[in-house]
Amino acid sequence: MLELVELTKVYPGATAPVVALDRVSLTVGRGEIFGVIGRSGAGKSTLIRCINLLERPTSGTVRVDGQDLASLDTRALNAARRDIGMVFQHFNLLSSRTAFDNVALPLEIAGRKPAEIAPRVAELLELVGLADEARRYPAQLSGGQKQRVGIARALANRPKVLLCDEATSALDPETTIQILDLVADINRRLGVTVVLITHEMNVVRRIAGKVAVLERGRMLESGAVYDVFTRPQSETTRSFVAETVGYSLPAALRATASRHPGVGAATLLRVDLTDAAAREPLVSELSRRFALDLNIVAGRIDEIQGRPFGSLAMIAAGKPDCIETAIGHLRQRNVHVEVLGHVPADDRPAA
Amino acid sequence: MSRQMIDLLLEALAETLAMVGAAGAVAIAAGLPLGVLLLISGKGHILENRPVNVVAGALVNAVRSTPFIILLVAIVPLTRLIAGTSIGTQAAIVPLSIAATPFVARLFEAAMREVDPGLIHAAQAMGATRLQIVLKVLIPEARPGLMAAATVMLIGLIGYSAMAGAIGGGGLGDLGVRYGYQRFLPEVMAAVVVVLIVLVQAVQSLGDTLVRRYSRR
Ligand SMILES: Nc1ncnc2c1ncn2[C@@H]1O[C@H](COP(=O)(O)OP(=O)(O)O)[C@@H](O)[C@H]1O
Ligand SMILES: [Mg+2]
Repeated sequence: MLELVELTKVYPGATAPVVALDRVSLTVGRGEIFGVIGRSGAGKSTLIRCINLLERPTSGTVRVDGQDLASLDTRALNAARRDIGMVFQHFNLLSSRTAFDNVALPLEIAGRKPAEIAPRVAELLELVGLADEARRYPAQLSGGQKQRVGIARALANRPKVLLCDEATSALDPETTIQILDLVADINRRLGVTVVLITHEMNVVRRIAGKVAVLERGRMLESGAVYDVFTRPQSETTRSFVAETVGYSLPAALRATASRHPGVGAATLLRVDLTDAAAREPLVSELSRRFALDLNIVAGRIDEIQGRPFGSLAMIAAGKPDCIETAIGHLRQRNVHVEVLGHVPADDRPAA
Repeated sequence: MSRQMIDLLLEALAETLAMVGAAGAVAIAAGLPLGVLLLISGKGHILENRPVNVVAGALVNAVRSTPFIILLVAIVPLTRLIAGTSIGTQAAIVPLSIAATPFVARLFEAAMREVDPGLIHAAQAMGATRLQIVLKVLIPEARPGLMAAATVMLIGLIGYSAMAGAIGGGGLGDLGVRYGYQRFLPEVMAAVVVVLIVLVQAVQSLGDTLVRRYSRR
Protein backbone atom coordinates (compact mmCIF):
# COMPACT_ATOMS: atom_id res chain seq x y z
CA MET A 1 0.00 0.00 0.00
CA LEU A 2 2.76 2.31 1.01
CA GLU A 3 6.38 1.93 0.12
CA LEU A 4 9.30 4.11 1.08
CA VAL A 5 12.58 3.28 -0.61
CA GLU A 6 15.88 4.76 0.55
CA LEU A 7 14.11 7.94 1.56
CA THR A 8 16.54 10.75 2.36
CA LYS A 9 15.74 14.31 3.33
CA VAL A 10 18.37 16.96 3.89
CA TYR A 11 17.35 20.43 5.08
CA PRO A 12 19.66 23.34 4.28
CA GLY A 13 19.84 24.29 7.97
CA ALA A 14 21.09 27.56 9.42
CA THR A 15 24.76 26.59 9.71
CA ALA A 16 25.22 23.05 8.38
CA PRO A 17 22.84 20.84 6.39
CA VAL A 18 20.52 18.76 8.57
CA VAL A 19 20.02 15.15 7.54
CA ALA A 20 16.48 14.62 8.78
CA LEU A 21 16.03 11.25 7.06
CA ASP A 22 18.85 8.93 6.11
CA ARG A 23 17.94 6.19 3.62
CA VAL A 24 14.77 5.05 5.32
CA SER A 25 12.99 2.14 3.68
CA LEU A 26 9.77 0.63 4.85
CA THR A 27 6.65 -1.02 3.54
CA VAL A 28 3.18 -0.68 4.99
CA GLY A 29 0.60 -3.27 4.01
CA ARG A 30 -3.00 -2.50 3.13
CA GLY A 31 -5.19 -2.10 6.20
CA GLU A 32 -2.26 -2.11 8.61
CA ILE A 33 -1.71 0.27 11.49
CA PHE A 34 1.94 1.15 11.26
CA GLY A 35 3.60 3.09 14.05
CA VAL A 36 6.77 5.11 13.75
CA ILE A 37 8.29 5.89 17.11
CA GLY A 38 11.19 8.17 17.90
CA ARG A 39 12.34 10.94 20.18
CA SER A 40 11.84 14.58 19.33
CA GLY A 41 13.91 15.57 16.32
CA ALA A 42 14.27 11.98 15.10
CA GLY A 43 12.73 12.91 11.76
CA LYS A 44 9.22 11.54 12.30
CA SER A 45 7.32 14.56 11.03
CA THR A 46 9.63 14.82 8.06
CA LEU A 47 8.97 11.16 7.29
CA ILE A 48 5.20 11.46 7.41
CA ARG A 49 5.26 14.74 5.45
CA CYS A 50 7.31 13.06 2.73
CA ILE A 51 4.50 10.53 2.26
CA ASN A 52 2.05 13.13 0.93
CA LEU A 53 4.87 15.29 -0.41
CA LEU A 54 4.24 18.22 1.91
CA GLU A 55 8.01 17.84 2.05
CA ARG A 56 9.96 16.88 -1.07
CA PRO A 57 12.42 14.05 -0.39
CA THR A 58 16.02 14.85 -1.33
CA SER A 59 16.31 11.35 -2.77
CA GLY A 60 14.49 8.06 -2.66
CA THR A 61 10.95 7.23 -3.65
CA VAL A 62 7.55 7.18 -2.04
CA ARG A 63 4.91 4.98 -3.59
CA VAL A 64 1.33 5.13 -2.43
CA ASP A 65 -0.77 2.33 -3.86
CA GLY A 66 1.92 1.79 -6.48
CA GLN A 67 2.00 5.43 -7.53
CA ASP A 68 5.20 7.47 -7.30
CA LEU A 69 3.89 10.82 -6.09
CA ALA A 70 7.04 12.76 -7.01
CA SER A 71 6.46 11.98 -10.68
CA LEU A 72 3.03 13.66 -10.72
CA ASP A 73 2.27 17.17 -11.93
CA THR A 74 0.51 19.58 -9.56
CA ARG A 75 -2.99 18.60 -10.64
CA ALA A 76 -2.39 14.90 -10.35
CA LEU A 77 -0.58 15.38 -7.04
CA ASN A 78 -3.56 17.28 -5.63
CA ALA A 79 -5.82 14.47 -6.76
CA ALA A 80 -3.51 11.87 -5.20
CA ARG A 81 -3.46 13.79 -1.93
CA ARG A 82 -7.22 13.38 -1.63
CA ASP A 83 -6.55 9.68 -1.19
CA ILE A 84 -4.31 10.42 1.80
CA GLY A 85 -5.96 11.88 4.89
CA MET A 86 -3.84 13.65 7.48
CA VAL A 87 -4.41 14.30 11.17
CA PHE A 88 -2.25 16.80 13.04
CA GLN A 89 -0.96 17.18 16.58
CA HIS A 90 -2.47 20.65 16.93
CA PHE A 91 -5.60 19.72 14.98
CA ASN A 92 -5.15 22.53 12.44
CA LEU A 93 -8.85 23.29 12.22
CA LEU A 94 -10.05 26.53 10.67
CA SER A 95 -11.19 28.74 13.53
CA SER A 96 -13.58 30.58 11.22
CA ARG A 97 -15.51 27.43 10.38
CA THR A 98 -17.84 25.29 12.48
CA ALA A 99 -17.09 21.62 13.05
CA PHE A 100 -19.47 20.89 10.18
CA ASP A 101 -17.79 23.31 7.81
CA ASN A 102 -14.33 22.10 8.77
CA VAL A 103 -15.29 18.58 7.79
CA ALA A 104 -16.84 19.98 4.60
CA LEU A 105 -13.61 21.74 3.58
CA PRO A 106 -11.83 18.80 1.89
CA LEU A 107 -15.07 18.02 0.04
CA GLU A 108 -15.33 21.62 -1.18
CA ILE A 109 -11.70 21.47 -2.24
CA ALA A 110 -12.41 18.28 -4.16
CA GLY A 111 -15.19 20.16 -5.97
CA ARG A 112 -18.12 18.24 -4.49
CA LYS A 113 -21.58 19.81 -4.74
CA PRO A 114 -23.23 21.18 -1.60
CA ALA A 115 -26.04 18.65 -1.98
CA GLU A 116 -23.46 15.86 -1.76
CA ILE A 117 -21.43 17.50 0.98
CA ALA A 118 -24.12 17.89 3.65
CA PRO A 119 -25.10 14.23 4.01
CA ARG A 120 -21.46 13.10 3.84
CA VAL A 121 -20.44 15.52 6.60
CA ALA A 122 -23.35 14.42 8.78
CA GLU A 123 -22.29 10.80 8.29
CA LEU A 124 -18.68 11.61 9.22
CA LEU A 125 -19.63 13.54 12.34
CA GLU A 126 -21.79 10.60 13.32
CA LEU A 127 -18.83 8.25 12.80
CA VAL A 128 -16.61 10.22 15.17
CA GLY A 129 -19.40 10.78 17.68
CA LEU A 130 -19.82 14.50 17.17
CA ALA A 131 -23.24 14.72 15.55
CA ASP A 132 -24.43 17.09 18.29
CA GLU A 133 -21.51 19.49 17.98
CA ALA A 134 -21.83 20.20 14.26
CA ARG A 135 -22.62 23.90 14.73
CA ARG A 136 -19.85 24.61 17.21
CA TYR A 137 -16.66 26.45 16.40
CA PRO A 138 -13.30 24.86 17.27
CA ALA A 139 -12.86 27.37 20.12
CA GLN A 140 -15.97 25.85 21.71
CA LEU A 141 -14.69 22.26 21.54
CA SER A 142 -12.42 20.27 23.86
CA GLY A 143 -9.08 18.92 22.60
CA GLY A 144 -10.52 15.45 22.10
CA GLN A 145 -13.51 16.84 20.21
CA LYS A 146 -11.23 18.93 18.02
CA GLN A 147 -9.21 15.86 17.13
CA ARG A 148 -12.42 14.01 16.30
CA VAL A 149 -13.26 16.80 13.87
CA GLY A 150 -9.71 16.47 12.52
CA ILE A 151 -10.21 12.75 11.98
CA ALA A 152 -13.62 13.22 10.35
CA ARG A 153 -12.09 15.84 8.06
CA ALA A 154 -9.21 13.53 7.15
CA LEU A 155 -11.67 10.78 6.21
CA ALA A 156 -14.00 13.00 4.18
CA ASN A 157 -12.73 12.03 0.74
CA ARG A 158 -12.61 8.32 1.66
CA PRO A 159 -8.82 8.10 1.65
CA LYS A 160 -6.92 4.83 1.41
CA VAL A 161 -4.27 6.03 3.83
CA LEU A 162 -4.59 7.99 7.06
CA LEU A 163 -1.48 9.78 8.30
CA CYS A 164 -1.42 10.76 11.97
CA ASP A 165 1.35 13.14 13.03
CA GLU A 166 1.46 12.95 16.83
CA ALA A 167 -2.33 12.95 16.75
CA THR A 168 -2.65 12.41 20.49
CA SER A 169 0.37 14.30 21.80
CA ALA A 170 -1.65 17.37 22.74
CA LEU A 171 -4.26 15.33 24.60
CA ASP A 172 -4.52 14.06 28.16
CA PRO A 173 -4.02 10.31 28.75
CA GLU A 174 -7.71 9.48 28.93
CA THR A 175 -8.59 11.37 25.77
CA THR A 176 -5.54 9.83 24.09
CA ILE A 177 -6.98 6.39 24.67
CA GLN A 178 -10.39 7.42 23.30
CA ILE A 179 -8.85 8.87 20.17
CA LEU A 180 -6.58 5.85 19.64
CA ASP A 181 -9.53 3.52 20.01
CA LEU A 182 -11.45 5.62 17.51
CA VAL A 183 -8.59 5.33 15.02
CA ALA A 184 -8.40 1.57 15.58
CA ASP A 185 -12.15 1.30 15.12
CA ILE A 186 -12.03 3.29 11.90
CA ASN A 187 -9.17 1.13 10.68
CA ARG A 188 -11.26 -1.97 11.27
CA ARG A 189 -14.49 -0.63 9.86
CA LEU A 190 -13.20 1.22 6.83
CA GLY A 191 -10.06 -0.80 6.17
CA VAL A 192 -8.03 2.37 5.87
CA THR A 193 -4.26 1.98 6.20
CA VAL A 194 -2.93 4.03 9.11
CA VAL A 195 0.54 5.45 9.60
CA LEU A 196 0.95 7.06 12.97
CA ILE A 197 4.02 8.69 14.36
CA THR A 198 4.56 9.30 18.02
CA HIS A 199 7.12 9.63 20.75
CA GLU A 200 4.95 7.60 23.11
CA MET A 201 5.35 3.89 23.50
CA ASN A 202 1.80 3.58 24.80
CA VAL A 203 0.37 4.85 21.53
CA VAL A 204 2.17 2.24 19.48
CA ARG A 205 1.48 -0.47 22.02
CA ARG A 206 -2.23 0.20 22.05
CA ILE A 207 -3.12 0.14 18.39
CA ALA A 208 -0.18 -0.48 16.04
CA GLY A 209 0.50 -3.88 14.50
CA LYS A 210 3.90 -2.94 13.14
CA VAL A 211 6.43 -0.41 14.25
CA ALA A 212 9.59 1.25 13.05
CA VAL A 213 11.99 2.92 15.46
CA LEU A 214 13.57 6.10 14.18
CA GLU A 215 16.57 7.91 15.58
CA ARG A 216 18.47 10.79 14.03
CA GLY A 217 16.93 10.09 10.67
CA ARG A 218 17.88 6.42 10.67
CA MET A 219 15.54 3.51 11.01
CA LEU A 220 16.98 1.38 13.79
CA GLU A 221 14.62 -1.55 13.55
CA SER A 222 11.15 -2.44 12.42
CA GLY A 223 8.73 -5.30 12.49
CA ALA A 224 5.73 -6.58 14.39
CA VAL A 225 5.23 -4.50 17.52
CA TYR A 226 5.44 -7.48 19.83
CA ASP A 227 8.67 -8.74 18.31
CA VAL A 228 10.38 -5.36 18.23
CA PHE A 229 9.55 -4.58 21.82
CA THR A 230 10.21 -8.01 23.26
CA ARG A 231 13.52 -8.37 21.44
CA PRO A 232 14.82 -4.83 21.17
CA GLN A 233 18.02 -4.54 19.14
CA SER A 234 18.91 -0.97 20.01
CA GLU A 235 19.37 1.13 23.12
CA THR A 236 16.67 3.52 21.92
CA THR A 237 14.13 0.74 21.57
CA ARG A 238 15.08 -0.60 25.00
CA SER A 239 14.51 2.84 26.48
CA PHE A 240 11.04 2.99 24.93
CA VAL A 241 10.27 -0.44 26.34
CA ALA A 242 11.47 0.69 29.75
CA GLU A 243 8.89 3.48 29.62
CA THR A 244 6.01 1.03 29.81
CA VAL A 245 7.38 -2.00 31.57
CA GLY A 246 10.27 -0.28 33.25
CA TYR A 247 10.75 -0.39 37.00
CA SER A 248 13.64 0.49 39.19
CA LEU A 249 15.32 -1.86 41.59
CA PRO A 250 15.87 -0.78 45.16
CA ALA A 251 19.01 1.33 44.91
CA ALA A 252 20.92 -0.41 47.72
CA LEU A 253 20.28 -3.83 46.25
CA ARG A 254 21.34 -2.69 42.83
CA ALA A 255 24.57 -1.21 44.22
CA THR A 256 25.42 -4.36 46.14
CA ALA A 257 24.80 -6.62 43.17
CA SER A 258 26.88 -4.48 40.86
CA ARG A 259 29.80 -4.71 43.34
CA HIS A 260 29.62 -8.53 43.12
CA PRO A 261 29.23 -9.56 39.50
CA GLY A 262 28.39 -13.10 38.49
CA VAL A 263 26.48 -15.87 40.15
CA GLY A 264 26.62 -16.47 43.88
CA ALA A 265 24.52 -18.16 46.55
CA ALA A 266 21.97 -15.33 46.25
CA THR A 267 21.89 -14.07 42.70
CA LEU A 268 19.98 -11.08 41.41
CA LEU A 269 18.37 -11.93 38.07
CA ARG A 270 16.27 -10.02 35.62
CA VAL A 271 13.96 -12.27 33.65
CA ASP A 272 12.07 -10.89 30.67
CA LEU A 273 8.62 -12.28 30.37
CA THR A 274 7.24 -12.80 26.93
CA ASP A 275 4.55 -15.15 25.70
CA ALA A 276 6.13 -18.45 26.68
CA ALA A 277 7.57 -17.42 29.99
CA ALA A 278 4.56 -15.50 31.21
CA ARG A 279 2.07 -18.29 30.51
CA GLU A 280 3.91 -20.86 32.52
CA PRO A 281 4.31 -21.16 36.24
CA LEU A 282 7.91 -20.13 35.87
CA VAL A 283 8.70 -19.25 39.45
CA SER A 284 7.34 -22.39 41.03
CA GLU A 285 8.93 -24.53 38.34
CA LEU A 286 12.39 -23.07 38.94
CA SER A 287 11.91 -23.37 42.62
CA ARG A 288 10.93 -27.02 42.43
CA ARG A 289 13.26 -28.27 39.75
CA PHE A 290 16.41 -26.54 40.87
CA ALA A 291 15.78 -26.33 44.61
CA LEU A 292 15.90 -22.53 44.63
CA ASP A 293 14.29 -19.96 46.86
CA LEU A 294 12.99 -17.20 44.63
CA ASN A 295 12.27 -13.80 46.04
CA ILE A 296 10.71 -11.35 43.60
CA VAL A 297 12.03 -7.86 44.35
CA ALA A 298 10.57 -5.82 41.51
CA GLY A 299 8.67 -6.34 38.30
CA ARG A 300 6.00 -5.32 35.94
CA ILE A 301 3.86 -7.23 33.50
CA ASP A 302 1.81 -5.63 30.79
CA GLU A 303 0.31 -6.49 27.45
CA ILE A 304 1.01 -5.71 23.84
CA GLN A 305 -1.91 -6.58 21.62
CA GLY A 306 -3.25 -8.92 24.22
CA ARG A 307 0.05 -10.77 24.63
CA PRO A 308 1.86 -10.66 27.95
CA PHE A 309 5.01 -8.70 28.09
CA GLY A 310 7.11 -7.67 31.06
CA SER A 311 10.05 -8.32 33.27
CA LEU A 312 10.75 -9.51 36.81
CA ALA A 313 13.72 -8.97 39.05
CA MET A 314 14.28 -11.70 41.59
CA ILE A 315 16.86 -13.01 43.98
CA ALA A 316 17.51 -16.69 43.42
CA ALA A 317 19.00 -18.33 46.49
CA GLY A 318 20.45 -21.83 46.36
CA LYS A 319 23.53 -23.67 45.20
CA PRO A 320 25.43 -21.55 42.66
CA ASP A 321 25.66 -24.40 40.18
CA CYS A 322 21.93 -25.02 40.50
CA ILE A 323 21.39 -21.35 39.73
CA GLU A 324 23.64 -21.65 36.67
CA THR A 325 21.65 -24.65 35.47
CA ALA A 326 18.39 -22.84 36.03
CA ILE A 327 19.63 -19.88 33.95
CA GLY A 328 20.72 -22.27 31.20
CA HIS A 329 17.32 -23.91 31.31
CA LEU A 330 15.53 -20.58 30.90
CA ARG A 331 17.78 -19.45 28.09
CA GLN A 332 17.24 -22.72 26.29
CA ARG A 333 13.56 -21.92 26.32
CA ASN A 334 14.24 -18.52 24.82
CA VAL A 335 13.61 -16.62 28.00
CA HIS A 336 15.91 -13.63 28.26
CA VAL A 337 17.77 -13.70 31.57
CA GLU A 338 20.27 -11.16 32.79
CA VAL A 339 22.54 -11.76 35.76
CA LEU A 340 22.80 -8.47 37.60
CA GLY A 341 25.25 -9.79 40.22
CA HIS A 342 25.05 -11.61 43.51
CA VAL A 343 24.45 -10.58 47.04
CA PRO A 344 26.88 -12.08 49.62
CA ALA A 345 25.28 -13.02 52.92
CA ASP A 346 27.28 -10.45 54.90
CA ASP A 347 26.47 -7.69 52.40
CA ARG A 348 22.76 -8.24 52.07
CA PRO A 349 20.87 -5.01 52.54
CA ALA A 350 17.95 -5.18 54.88
CA ALA A 351 14.95 -5.90 52.69
CA MET B 1 -25.10 78.36 12.99
CA SER B 2 -27.17 79.36 10.00
CA ARG B 3 -29.32 77.03 7.97
CA GLN B 4 -27.06 77.74 5.03
CA MET B 5 -24.00 76.73 7.01
CA ILE B 6 -25.61 73.43 8.00
CA ASP B 7 -26.42 72.72 4.36
CA LEU B 8 -22.81 73.43 3.45
CA LEU B 9 -21.65 71.11 6.19
CA LEU B 10 -23.95 68.30 5.08
CA GLU B 11 -22.88 68.73 1.50
CA ALA B 12 -19.22 68.58 2.53
CA LEU B 13 -19.89 65.49 4.64
CA ALA B 14 -21.51 63.79 1.66
CA GLU B 15 -18.51 64.65 -0.49
CA THR B 16 -16.10 63.27 2.11
CA LEU B 17 -18.14 60.09 2.41
CA ALA B 18 -18.18 59.73 -1.36
CA MET B 19 -14.40 60.20 -1.63
CA VAL B 20 -13.57 57.93 1.28
CA GLY B 21 -16.15 55.36 0.25
CA ALA B 22 -15.03 55.16 -3.36
CA ALA B 23 -11.29 55.30 -2.63
CA GLY B 24 -11.76 52.82 0.23
CA ALA B 25 -13.60 50.41 -2.04
CA VAL B 26 -10.89 50.66 -4.69
CA ALA B 27 -8.15 50.24 -2.07
CA ILE B 28 -9.78 47.13 -0.62
CA ALA B 29 -10.43 45.63 -4.05
CA ALA B 30 -6.88 46.28 -5.23
CA GLY B 31 -5.12 45.99 -1.87
CA LEU B 32 -6.37 42.51 -1.07
CA PRO B 33 -4.85 40.81 -4.12
CA LEU B 34 -1.74 42.92 -3.70
CA GLY B 35 -1.48 41.94 -0.03
CA VAL B 36 -1.99 38.28 -0.94
CA LEU B 37 0.74 38.58 -3.58
CA LEU B 38 3.15 40.22 -1.15
CA LEU B 39 2.58 37.41 1.31
CA ILE B 40 2.50 34.29 -0.85
CA SER B 41 5.42 35.31 -3.07
CA GLY B 42 7.53 35.57 0.08
CA LYS B 43 10.16 33.08 1.16
CA GLY B 44 8.82 29.63 1.92
CA HIS B 45 5.26 30.54 1.01
CA ILE B 46 2.92 28.92 -1.47
CA LEU B 47 3.94 31.01 -4.48
CA GLU B 48 7.53 31.79 -3.56
CA ASN B 49 8.95 34.08 -6.21
CA ARG B 50 11.74 36.42 -5.23
CA PRO B 51 11.63 38.81 -8.23
CA VAL B 52 7.87 39.30 -7.91
CA ASN B 53 8.15 39.74 -4.17
CA VAL B 54 10.96 42.28 -4.43
CA VAL B 55 9.32 44.32 -7.20
CA ALA B 56 5.90 44.36 -5.55
CA GLY B 57 7.46 45.24 -2.21
CA ALA B 58 9.54 48.06 -3.69
CA LEU B 59 6.53 49.52 -5.52
CA VAL B 60 4.44 49.46 -2.39
CA ASN B 61 7.21 51.07 -0.36
CA ALA B 62 7.79 53.76 -3.00
CA VAL B 63 4.16 54.89 -2.96
CA ARG B 64 3.97 54.67 0.82
CA SER B 65 7.04 56.82 1.30
CA THR B 66 5.79 59.58 -1.03
CA PRO B 67 4.09 62.31 1.01
CA PHE B 68 0.43 62.45 0.05
CA ILE B 69 0.52 66.11 -0.87
CA ILE B 70 3.32 65.41 -3.39
CA LEU B 71 1.56 62.33 -4.75
CA LEU B 72 -1.53 64.46 -5.24
CA VAL B 73 0.32 66.88 -7.53
CA ALA B 74 2.65 64.37 -9.15
CA ILE B 75 -0.09 62.18 -10.57
CA VAL B 76 -2.27 64.98 -11.96
CA PRO B 77 -1.83 63.71 -15.55
CA LEU B 78 -2.94 60.25 -14.51
CA THR B 79 -5.84 61.70 -12.60
CA ARG B 80 -6.91 63.65 -15.67
CA LEU B 81 -6.66 60.49 -17.76
CA ILE B 82 -8.83 58.47 -15.40
CA ALA B 83 -11.30 61.02 -14.09
CA GLY B 84 -11.34 63.32 -17.13
CA THR B 85 -10.50 66.25 -14.85
CA SER B 86 -7.96 67.02 -12.17
CA ILE B 87 -10.24 68.96 -9.87
CA GLY B 88 -13.31 68.03 -7.91
CA THR B 89 -14.43 65.20 -5.69
CA GLN B 90 -14.32 62.62 -8.44
CA ALA B 91 -10.76 63.55 -9.37
CA ALA B 92 -9.65 63.29 -5.73
CA ILE B 93 -10.70 59.65 -5.64
CA VAL B 94 -7.77 58.77 -7.93
CA PRO B 95 -4.86 59.90 -5.70
CA LEU B 96 -6.71 58.76 -2.59
CA SER B 97 -7.07 55.25 -4.03
CA ILE B 98 -3.45 55.19 -5.12
CA ALA B 99 -2.23 56.23 -1.70
CA ALA B 100 -4.52 53.90 0.23
CA THR B 101 -3.98 50.75 -1.82
CA PRO B 102 -0.33 49.99 -0.93
CA PHE B 103 -0.97 51.11 2.64
CA VAL B 104 -3.82 48.68 3.15
CA ALA B 105 -2.04 45.97 1.13
CA ARG B 106 0.74 45.94 3.74
CA LEU B 107 -1.79 45.79 6.56
CA PHE B 108 -3.64 42.96 4.80
CA GLU B 109 -0.36 41.13 4.28
CA ALA B 110 0.44 41.42 7.98
CA ALA B 111 -3.04 40.21 8.95
CA MET B 112 -2.81 37.14 6.72
CA ARG B 113 0.70 36.39 7.96
CA GLU B 114 -0.87 35.72 11.34
CA VAL B 115 -2.76 32.72 9.97
CA ASP B 116 -1.30 29.52 11.46
CA PRO B 117 0.93 27.89 8.80
CA GLY B 118 -0.46 24.56 10.01
CA LEU B 119 -3.77 25.47 8.38
CA ILE B 120 -2.02 25.92 5.04
CA HIS B 121 -0.31 22.55 5.46
CA ALA B 122 -3.66 20.99 6.26
CA ALA B 123 -5.19 22.46 3.10
CA GLN B 124 -2.21 21.33 1.02
CA ALA B 125 -2.58 17.84 2.45
CA MET B 126 -6.21 17.91 1.26
CA GLY B 127 -5.01 18.64 -2.25
CA ALA B 128 -6.01 22.32 -2.28
CA THR B 129 -4.78 24.51 -5.12
CA ARG B 130 -3.06 27.77 -4.27
CA LEU B 131 -6.16 29.73 -5.19
CA GLN B 132 -8.24 27.53 -2.90
CA ILE B 133 -5.75 28.07 -0.10
CA VAL B 134 -6.06 31.84 -0.51
CA LEU B 135 -9.85 31.88 -0.82
CA LYS B 136 -10.77 29.18 1.68
CA VAL B 137 -8.03 29.47 4.27
CA LEU B 138 -5.98 32.67 4.23
CA ILE B 139 -8.73 35.22 3.69
CA PRO B 140 -11.47 33.68 5.85
CA GLU B 141 -9.07 32.91 8.71
CA ALA B 142 -7.61 36.43 8.59
CA ARG B 143 -11.02 38.08 8.30
CA PRO B 144 -11.04 39.84 11.68
CA GLY B 145 -7.52 41.14 11.02
CA LEU B 146 -8.47 42.20 7.50
CA MET B 147 -11.45 44.13 8.87
CA ALA B 148 -9.28 45.85 11.45
CA ALA B 149 -6.85 46.75 8.66
CA ALA B 150 -9.63 48.16 6.49
CA THR B 151 -10.84 50.24 9.44
CA VAL B 152 -7.40 51.75 9.96
CA MET B 153 -7.18 52.49 6.24
CA LEU B 154 -10.62 54.17 6.10
CA ILE B 155 -9.76 56.40 9.02
CA GLY B 156 -6.50 57.33 7.32
CA LEU B 157 -8.47 58.14 4.17
CA ILE B 158 -10.73 60.52 6.09
CA GLY B 159 -7.64 62.50 7.04
CA TYR B 160 -6.14 62.36 3.53
CA SER B 161 -9.43 63.37 1.94
CA ALA B 162 -9.16 66.68 3.80
CA MET B 163 -5.87 67.31 2.04
CA ALA B 164 -7.40 66.44 -1.31
CA GLY B 165 -9.34 69.65 -0.84
CA ALA B 166 -6.13 71.30 -2.01
CA ILE B 167 -6.95 70.31 -5.58
CA GLY B 168 -10.52 71.45 -5.22
CA GLY B 169 -11.62 68.09 -4.02
CA GLY B 170 -14.36 69.44 -1.80
CA GLY B 171 -15.36 67.66 1.37
CA LEU B 172 -15.09 68.56 5.03
CA GLY B 173 -11.40 69.48 4.95
CA ASP B 174 -11.94 71.82 2.05
CA LEU B 175 -14.89 73.45 3.84
CA GLY B 176 -12.88 73.91 7.00
CA VAL B 177 -10.00 75.56 5.14
CA ARG B 178 -12.10 77.81 2.90
CA TYR B 179 -14.59 79.07 5.48
CA GLY B 180 -12.81 78.52 8.72
CA TYR B 181 -9.34 79.69 7.70
CA GLN B 182 -9.62 81.90 4.61
CA ARG B 183 -12.89 83.62 5.61
CA PHE B 184 -12.01 83.41 9.26
CA LEU B 185 -15.15 81.70 10.56
CA PRO B 186 -13.79 79.70 13.52
CA GLU B 187 -17.18 78.19 14.34
CA VAL B 188 -17.24 76.52 10.90
CA MET B 189 -13.78 75.15 11.50
CA ALA B 190 -14.92 73.84 14.91
CA ALA B 191 -18.03 72.28 13.40
CA VAL B 192 -15.93 70.57 10.73
CA VAL B 193 -13.59 69.15 13.36
CA VAL B 194 -16.52 67.89 15.44
CA VAL B 195 -18.09 66.17 12.42
CA LEU B 196 -14.74 64.57 11.56
CA ILE B 197 -14.33 63.30 15.13
CA VAL B 198 -17.80 61.79 15.08
CA LEU B 199 -17.14 60.26 11.65
CA VAL B 200 -13.87 58.66 12.74
CA GLN B 201 -15.50 57.34 15.92
CA ALA B 202 -18.35 55.87 13.92
CA VAL B 203 -16.03 54.11 11.47
CA GLN B 204 -13.89 52.77 14.32
CA SER B 205 -16.90 51.44 16.23
CA LEU B 206 -18.32 49.81 13.14
CA GLY B 207 -14.94 48.25 12.43
CA ASP B 208 -14.58 46.99 16.00
CA THR B 209 -18.06 45.48 15.92
CA LEU B 210 -17.31 43.61 12.72
CA VAL B 211 -13.96 42.38 14.00
CA ARG B 212 -15.61 41.08 17.17
CA ARG B 213 -18.43 39.50 15.22
CA TYR B 214 -16.02 37.47 13.07
CA SER B 215 -13.51 36.53 15.75
CA ARG B 216 -14.01 32.89 16.61
CA ARG B 217 -10.81 32.18 18.45
N1 LIG C 1 11.99 23.04 7.64
C1 LIG C 1 13.11 22.65 8.25
N2 LIG C 1 14.29 23.27 8.03
C2 LIG C 1 15.42 22.87 8.65
N3 LIG C 1 15.49 21.84 9.50
C3 LIG C 1 14.36 21.17 9.76
C4 LIG C 1 13.11 21.54 9.17
N4 LIG C 1 12.15 20.69 9.62
C5 LIG C 1 12.77 19.84 10.46
N5 LIG C 1 14.09 20.12 10.54
C6 LIG C 1 15.10 19.38 11.34
O1 LIG C 1 15.05 18.03 10.95
C7 LIG C 1 15.14 17.17 12.07
C8 LIG C 1 13.92 16.29 12.15
O2 LIG C 1 12.79 17.08 12.43
P1 LIG C 1 11.31 16.48 12.54
O3 LIG C 1 11.05 15.65 11.34
O4 LIG C 1 10.38 17.58 12.81
O5 LIG C 1 11.47 15.54 13.82
P2 LIG C 1 10.37 14.95 14.81
O6 LIG C 1 9.02 15.11 14.19
O7 LIG C 1 10.76 13.52 14.96
O8 LIG C 1 10.50 15.69 16.09
C9 LIG C 1 15.33 18.07 13.27
O9 LIG C 1 16.70 18.16 13.54
C10 LIG C 1 14.78 19.39 12.81
O10 LIG C 1 15.43 20.44 13.46
MG1 LIG D 1 7.27 16.13 14.90
